[in-house]
Parts: sequence; C-alpha cells; structure tokens
Amino acid sequence: MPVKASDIQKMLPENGKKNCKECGVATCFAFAMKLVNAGITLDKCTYLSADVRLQLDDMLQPPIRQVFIGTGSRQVAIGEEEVMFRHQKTFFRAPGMALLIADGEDEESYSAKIAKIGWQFERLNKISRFDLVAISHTSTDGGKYLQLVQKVMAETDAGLILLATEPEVLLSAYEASKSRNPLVCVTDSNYAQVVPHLAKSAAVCASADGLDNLANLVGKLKEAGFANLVLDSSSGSLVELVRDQTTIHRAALLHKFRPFAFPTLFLAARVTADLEQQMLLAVAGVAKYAGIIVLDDISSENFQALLTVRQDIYTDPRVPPTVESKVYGFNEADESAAVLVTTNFALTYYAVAGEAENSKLPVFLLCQDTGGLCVLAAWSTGTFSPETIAEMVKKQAVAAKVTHKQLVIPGYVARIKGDLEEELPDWEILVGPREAVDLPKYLNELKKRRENVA
Amino acid sequence: MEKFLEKYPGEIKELVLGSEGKKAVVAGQNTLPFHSFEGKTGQLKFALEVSDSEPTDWVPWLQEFYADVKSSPEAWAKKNAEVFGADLIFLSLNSMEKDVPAEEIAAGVKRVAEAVNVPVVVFGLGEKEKDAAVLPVVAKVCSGLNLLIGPVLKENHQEIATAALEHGHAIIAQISMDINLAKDLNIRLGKYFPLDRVVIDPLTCVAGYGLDYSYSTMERIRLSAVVYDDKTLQSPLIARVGKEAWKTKEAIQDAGKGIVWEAVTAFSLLLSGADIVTMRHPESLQRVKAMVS
Repeated sequence: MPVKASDIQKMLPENGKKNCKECGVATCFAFAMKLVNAGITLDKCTYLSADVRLQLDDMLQPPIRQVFIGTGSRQVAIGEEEVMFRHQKTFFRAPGMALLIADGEDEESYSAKIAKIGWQFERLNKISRFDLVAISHTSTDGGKYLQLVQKVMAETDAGLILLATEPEVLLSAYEASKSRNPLVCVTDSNYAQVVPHLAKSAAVCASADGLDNLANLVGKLKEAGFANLVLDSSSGSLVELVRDQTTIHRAALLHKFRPFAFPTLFLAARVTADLEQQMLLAVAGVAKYAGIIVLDDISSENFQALLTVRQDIYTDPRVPPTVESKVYGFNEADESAAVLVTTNFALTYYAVAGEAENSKLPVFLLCQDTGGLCVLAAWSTGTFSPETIAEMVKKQAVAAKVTHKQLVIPGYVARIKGDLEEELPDWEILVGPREAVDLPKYLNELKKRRENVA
Repeated sequence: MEKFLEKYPGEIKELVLGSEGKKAVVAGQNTLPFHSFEGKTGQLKFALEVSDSEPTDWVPWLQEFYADVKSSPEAWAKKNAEVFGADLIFLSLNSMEKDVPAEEIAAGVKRVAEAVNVPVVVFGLGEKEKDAAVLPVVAKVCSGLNLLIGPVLKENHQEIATAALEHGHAIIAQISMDINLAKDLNIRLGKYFPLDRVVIDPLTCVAGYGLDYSYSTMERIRLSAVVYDDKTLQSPLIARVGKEAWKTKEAIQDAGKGIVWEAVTAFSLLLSGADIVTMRHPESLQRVKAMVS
C-alpha cells in the first residue's frame, strides 16, 4: 500500500496550506502528489525541519526497501515486495541463494564449495546459480578469515556476506572487500565496536534473537544513518521461520511498521545441520518471503530442485507462461519422427513434451506462438488457426526435417482439419488425441500404421 | 509483536478416516498452514501409493524398489504402512484399465483395507463413466470401512457420492485447478453430502511443471475457507504428488532426482494448504515428514 498524498501534505509547512510555490509547484498538495510518485525530491521544500524531513523521507520509502548486495552483473537485489500472497499480484525479487563457507573447514572442503559457486542450471531460458557466498569465522585465527574472504573474492565475483562476529576480524574483512559491497552482519554485542567503522551506505544485516530485539537493533542502525538493512531474526525451527517471516512481511506491508520495512535473511544452519532438512527449510524460505537463504552445503540435485521451486513461486501469475515458439525434438528425432503441432502455452508444452518423451518414439513438436493461450482458447481467438499453423510449418521448413508428410493436430481442434489441408496441400492432416496422456498410445499406433503401409 | 498476529473466523473440521481400531484424523485447523503461533494447525497425513494391479507404467527404479510386493496389493500396503510409516494407503485402481469386473475390484479393495492398520484412500481412473460404474460397488462392498473414495467429478458425483454416503465413506471432489470450480462442485455436493467429509483435489503440478498453479490454487482455497470463512470451501485438501513427480523427466533420468522432486513438491504444497499428500517413495515421505513433525 503506497503512502497517501494527503498524509504527506499534513506534514508540510502550515499543515500543508502554505502554498508558497517556491518549490516550483502550485500547491503543497500538488508537491505531496509529486513526492508520492517520486516526481520531485524533498529538498525542494526549504521550510522543513530536519526532524520532519527524516519522518517524510521514511514515509516515502516503499513498504519494503530494496537492498543491493554485491556489484556489477552479479549484484543481487532483494526486497520491495508488495503482497502477502503471490496470486494477489506477484512476488518480484527471488531470494538470493547463499552458500556458507567457514574458515574452519579444510582446503578440500573450500575448493569443493568454491566449485559449487560456479554451478549453473538452466530452465525456461533462465540461468540460476548461487547468488552469494556467506563466510563465517569458526577457526580461532582471524588471519585465516581474511585469507578466505580474499580467496573467495579472487575466485568468484558473487556477492559476499560477512558473518564473523569478532569486531576486528569482521572489520578487516570489510575493509578488504568493501569495494564489492558485501552484506555485513551486525549483532547487539558487536554493534559498538563495528558500526562506527562502516560506511553509511554499507549493506548491513541486523542479526538478533527474536523479533523484539531485532526491531530495537534496526532502530539503532536507522538512527545511526544506515538505510540498506537486512533483517535476521535467528529463526530456530520451521514454525519460527514461518512465524518470523510472516510477521515481518505483514508488519511492513499491512501495518507500515517501519523497523521491519526491509528484506530478510534466513540462516538454515540455525535450525539443523542436516543438509536434506536445510534444503526443505530453504523451500519454506522461498515460499515465505525470505530475502536471502544461507545453506551450509547442498547436493546438485537438491540445488536444482530448490532453484526450480524458486522459479515457480516467483513466476508472475499475471503473465501466461510460455515456451519459445520453435520445433522441439524428442527421443533423437530424425527424418522418421512424428510431427505434432500445439501452442506455446507452457503447461500445454510440458504435458505434451512429457508424454512425447514417454512414448520413447522420435517426435518433432511444433509449438506455435499463441501468446501463451492453450489450444481451445487460442483456436477461439484466431491465434491457433489453419493459417497460423501452416505459416509455422513453412517457416520452420518442417518438410525438410522428415521424409513423410503427416502432421498431427490436437484433438480439440479436429474441426480445422479440412481448412488446414487446403493451407498445406502436400500434407496429410491427422487428428491426435485431446489429452496429452493418450499420446504414447496414439504415437505407437501411428508408427504401426506407417510400418504396415510401408 | 502480538499486535501483528491474526485470528481467523473459519475452520476446517477434523475428518476421521478408517474403521474402528485403525482411525486417522486429518485437518482440524482454524489458522493457515504452519501458523501454530496464531491458532490451531491441522493434522497432516502422508499416504504411500499402492496399485491394485501390478504397475506397468511406474519408472524402473520404483518397480525394482517394490519388486518383492508389487504383485500383491495387500503385502505392498502392509509394507508401506508398517515398514515405511505411511499414515494412509493410497490405493490406485489400475485394474479398472483392464476392465476387471467391479465386484472383483471391490473385493480386492476390501482385502487391502482389512490387511492394513491404517485408513485407505481409494482412487479410480478419473474416467467419469468407468468410475461411476466401479466406485459405488467399492463403497457397497467396503460398507462401514470409512474409506476416502474418489475422484468425484461434476459429471458423476450423484452416483459415487450417494453410494459413499449410504455406506459411510468420505469422498474426494476433483476439479481442475480453479477455486471457483471447487466452490461450484462443493455447493452441488453440499446439498446432500456433509462438506466436512469432502476432501478437495484441485489437481497437482510438480516443481518445474506448473507447481505455481497448484500452489496458488490451494493457497486461495485455504485463504477463502479460513480467512474469509467461506463455508463451501471448508474441506481438507489432497495433493496427489507421487504420480506426477515420478513421470517428470528428472525422475525418469535418475531415482535420486525423483525422490527430491517428490519431496520438494509435497512440502511446497503442504506450505500452501495441502492436508494429505500422496507419494510413491518412502524416502521422500520420510524427509518431508521429519521436516514437519
């Protein structure tokens, strides 16, 4: 919920009725309107006390501030979410996945983890990987921590999270890495020694035990002039994770509780050392508003599954999911492959592609661009018609890919068979099943029919 | 922080399944999933799937895994309940595909229900005519065993639900991923069937294959029931994960991936509102169960 212009107006000079025009706008209300839409800056009004200015500045921030960690192409942006439930609009910024490396681990373990930071997985034309590296201090040698930070910086350009709690150790790592805009974790116990040495623009994670202590710590940091904050409430179980994340998100969005107007961090190791459980906790973090999720370690298949869930939950429900409009080949499709056509609606594609694979027969699948509409909807709006299908068949030069001339259309559009035959006179148009699940049987029968003819 | 907590007007009543001595309670919440900090959460149940005829379309890893029991539904069900810790047996009536007589199928269901010490969920093919012919016979032959029977569709609810009601079973109302369809079918059923004995199956899509649809459909149904007190949607939810997870490319490639895909999908849907999840591999069941208990 954005702030109302009338609430801003009340805080302007003379209750917003001064209307001096010195800011270049006709009235105080018009100035307030511009402020709300970020069309003007507060400093244009020269009559605000420092106090009121701070208050207004706070009110004009989004309900959850956007925070950046890291630099360049690997920079991670989190926060600025708007809704409690994804169907109400969408979730915008997927949580950053962080892999934890401790300076108490041995060389072999370091190297294995640094290799994992290089992992990349592609799904739906999007590449996912670890976004961040969290570095904790479990050895007794402060020098070792600095060395590890430098090693990680040398080997990857991923963003850093500095988790050391000893002030000197933390600060020397901060000095060494501040050009990379790391996230620095601060607690009540190291606050006094650490915070005075941090740049006000630094990204700071406030770590506290429980929500009340967290709100206090955030208050101190805000007062000290820090604005790029991340919240860590030290959740110690699944229910605490759901409770803390829900409370923070709700307080920020629905109650405008400003101390919680920031993205969050969840450290799975606080709940359990079991890596299978950490992965499931990360799934809960993805579903329930976490901004950064820190894992001790993870296997390749667990990481792929986690990234897949993250992609699903952060899919925009307002946009029909589509796949690229092109010819997909399955089971080593060759010139004998059956040729099917359907729409590029992602769910249609998944269903058909899955069953095409299950048939164990070579298949070419043409996904025609219908803007993400399913077969019947696309047919009824004219985006999946004899003309559009024929155009795709010609444009993709399908005739050159196979030695036969049989094109299978979805059972739901059996009625276009005749018209499509006119558009593609060289082709025999076959009506396939209505549901993808019946495809393997259909394709096997089609193959037998062809063999009998031959 | 108390001021940020919420109390909700709606509740999902407890659903008791199973006959005397082998009962299980599902749901019974007045808050959102895992919100035990602001209300009473419901009981979650994990079902393992058994096929009433030897499965042919299961991936090789699962066929090998169940090699010792897959030809005997009773032995299979017993192993799932006693060795693998399934709270419920999800019995798929795949023998319907071979047009086995309904009485024979129903007798098989009864043998399974009597062999195990947990309640049984009985699931037809999802073909409206075949289910309408077979499921009422199952309801009758298993009279009093308090099974959970489905799927009941808009097109065949009269035949199946009437028989289930007469013989003391609960039912699964199946709709296709849409809160309004769920409401519509429950309103039809509510005219003659108690809605707290209906479990909604909004269909399941797994991670990477439309999970977002299942997730949000379940979440919306649960929000309507609990937060907005919509009486027509105050039914437990079932996510049939196993079958969908084990037909993904990932599960076909690799057994380990199948387990992970099944686990993350089941857990995601529990977070969004599922009260019962059905699975095919005990390893994924145990991972998720350990997480939520």
